[in-house]
Amino acid sequence: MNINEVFERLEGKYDVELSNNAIIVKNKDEILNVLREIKDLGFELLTNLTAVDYPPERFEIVYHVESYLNNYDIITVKTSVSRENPRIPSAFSIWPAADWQEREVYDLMGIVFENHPHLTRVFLGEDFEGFPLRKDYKVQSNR
Amino acid sequence: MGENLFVGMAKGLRTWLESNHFLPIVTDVFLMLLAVVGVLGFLFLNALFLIYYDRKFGAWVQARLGPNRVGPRGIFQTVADTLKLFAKEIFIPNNVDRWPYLLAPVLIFTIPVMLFLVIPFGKGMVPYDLNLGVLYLVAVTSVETIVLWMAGWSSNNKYSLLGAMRSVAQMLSYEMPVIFAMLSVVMMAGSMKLSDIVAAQQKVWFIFLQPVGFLIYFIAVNAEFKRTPFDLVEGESEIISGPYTEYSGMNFALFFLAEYTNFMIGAIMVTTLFLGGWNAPFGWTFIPSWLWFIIKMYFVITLYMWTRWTFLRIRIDQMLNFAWKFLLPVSLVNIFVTGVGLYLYRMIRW
Amino acid sequence: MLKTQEISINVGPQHPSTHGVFRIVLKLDGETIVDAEPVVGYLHRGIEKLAEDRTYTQVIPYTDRMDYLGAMSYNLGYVQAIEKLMGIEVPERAEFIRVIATELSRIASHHVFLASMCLDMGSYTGWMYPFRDRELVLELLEMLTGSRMTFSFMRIGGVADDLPEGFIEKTKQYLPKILEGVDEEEGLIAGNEIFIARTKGLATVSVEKALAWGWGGANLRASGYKFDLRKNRPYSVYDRFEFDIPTGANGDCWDRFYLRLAEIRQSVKIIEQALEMIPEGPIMAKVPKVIKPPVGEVYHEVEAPKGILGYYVVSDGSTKPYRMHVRRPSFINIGMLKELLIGTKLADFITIFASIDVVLGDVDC
Repeated sequence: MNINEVFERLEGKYDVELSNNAIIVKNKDEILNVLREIKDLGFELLTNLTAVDYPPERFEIVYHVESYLNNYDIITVKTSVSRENPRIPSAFSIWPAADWQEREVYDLMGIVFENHPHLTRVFLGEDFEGFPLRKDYKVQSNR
Repeated sequence: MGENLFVGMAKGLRTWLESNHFLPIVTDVFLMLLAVVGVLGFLFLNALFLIYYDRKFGAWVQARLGPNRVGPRGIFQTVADTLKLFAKEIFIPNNVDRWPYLLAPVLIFTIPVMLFLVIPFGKGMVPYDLNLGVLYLVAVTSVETIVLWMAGWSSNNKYSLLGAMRSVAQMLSYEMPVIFAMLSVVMMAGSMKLSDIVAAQQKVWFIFLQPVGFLIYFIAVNAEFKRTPFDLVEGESEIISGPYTEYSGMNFALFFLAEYTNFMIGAIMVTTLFLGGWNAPFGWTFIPSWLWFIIKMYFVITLYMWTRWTFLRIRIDQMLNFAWKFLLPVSLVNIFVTGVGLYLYRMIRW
Repeated sequence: MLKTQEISINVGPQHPSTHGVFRIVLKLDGETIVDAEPVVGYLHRGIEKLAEDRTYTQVIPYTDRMDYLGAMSYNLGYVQAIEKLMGIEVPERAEFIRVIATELSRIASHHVFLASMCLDMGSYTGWMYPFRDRELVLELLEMLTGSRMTFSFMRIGGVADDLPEGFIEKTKQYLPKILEGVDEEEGLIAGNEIFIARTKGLATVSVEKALAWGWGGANLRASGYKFDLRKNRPYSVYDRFEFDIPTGANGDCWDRFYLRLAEIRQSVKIIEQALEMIPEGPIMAKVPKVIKPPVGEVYHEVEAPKGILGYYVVSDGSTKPYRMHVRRPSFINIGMLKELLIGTKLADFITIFASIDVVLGDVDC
């Protein structure tokens, strides 16, 4: 099953778009439903979860989902959240693998995953200020 | 001539002292002190060599060289290490329970030294031939539990505490099989005096009459003295160093030395109880008895080192299960069989 | 009535068996673990952020420093991701050199795994023997790349250097020794009663659970599912070699351990074939002096020694990556640690942690 087939299943039900070999979920509140639907299609593995910062208006959350059991290709699912209030439902209930990866994104990007069981910083200390992977984070450079 | 080297020296000294009209009590005390000094000297020198030997043996097992810089073939490595530990600051952490903390290293080394009191090193070479020698050994060995607990508790460190708890559990569990295995030997010999036990093995060593007892004793003593695979008390990959974690410098060295001395005691006990003590095999009496004793002791030590470098540590629940569910029942059965055997032997004896 | 209390102990960050600087707060009831809270980040260098400020070529040395034990796979994953983005065709000879180097580094990584697991369980001897054999592998890698651990050997479009003179002969001479060493280690460790008693049935992970938590690679195969990216989705020239994919049965610590032993043999097999089949030719593709991938993004996965390694690179058409994210296998593996630990003994924590094969440079990135 490749990305086009997956898109065909999702099209119409949800507000999705296929662009650049990625399924874009336009409404971030639908993301959990979309992901659950994809999982039910047989994609049992959330390989990668990360976020990209596109200032000034949005963060893009990227999910890479694949299946080893059915040998399905990697498909990319994306959604965007606003930079002012970056909140998105957590995928932990679908794939436990999201646990630490969401914590990492929260830690470095500052995106809050709602209903995550244990959303604390992974790498940086609790007293660390700012989110270093954001583009507007000032790096103290000694180069 | 080598046979009577030490005994002859003592006898000559006694004659000389008596001929000079010293009070008999002075003579006794002087000779006793001399014996203590002799035993301590033997113990220290042997421990120094033992550590070197252990490292070299380990290196050989592990396909590497081992210490080879200090002195010829690294023979003085232990001396250098000891000097380094001497020179180190004895660091006392905050909030330790000071008295037990400082007392523990002293006591831990006292116990193995006390054990040497009853060991027959050779023909007529017993510092003090106690007629309850076996009981004495068991009683004094078990005091070590308290000392380790002292060290672990007073260190104010959770790793030390865990190590101390482990040591208590381990020593209590393995005391039983040790005692029962000793008991089977005592039944055969009909005496608790160690020199009698050695004398009873003049013809046949107890290892041939008590193979099961030997195996139980061999394993249980290894556990009692906390060598791999029973080194849970230290377990450096789990609980750093157990009760020794907070000790430094000479305090640590004393623990270390005590460990090796204990190890030596274990080997000596196996030799005395099962391998005929100082008795020469095949009637080869041209080698003096005390040398036979040392040869046998080192043979057992090598066996223990072999197990140590081959095995890995077992888990606490496996360790306890092994003691209570396997070793103890087997040793009880062994005692029963020994008793029945002795009875039958007496009945059919012409 | 005696009162009992749970104690919480803080293992690490400086602890003999934490494979780097890892900290975990364990709550113990006697010796049984009732709660665990892993704390990572002591090695966090911000490689993802650093990459945004470096050119594409300058990122290569950073990839070494993630999993410094099996660094070659990390080189490979990165350069392949960029090549995929730019559409570069890599010459055959370079691909073969890449495979040889990657497999050698995989062997070295597995050796460290075997060794550290034994050391953590209290066997010094089991630690010494794999390290003796790892020395052979490192000697070969040093000959090839000039360094023992952080190679930075691969380039976008090829490799940095051709095989040095005498490399093939020396490798052919060393490979049987490595195999012999594996047999010896198997006899020494895998035949040890205590080792078996301590690892069999401990921390069992089913295939479903492993996949749900994102496990891939060797840890997934230990659970019994035969899936290897080198075989199932071949990249580079892996489709030309014949090798087996060893699998475990129960997914316990024993399987995870034994699988690595078996994988070393397969890697040796791959290298042997590669040495026979390696063609003559250039080692670098025609690559522009300044690497400027087109606007777009790429996600590329390779089979690293510790699991599936993924590179997600977003390019904005400039000379520097706009965003680079690495799916580090160790980071994914460590996620399940808490689940596995609860209910086991303190000594088991060390075994389990060693068996899921993490290296903290890779977790923290």
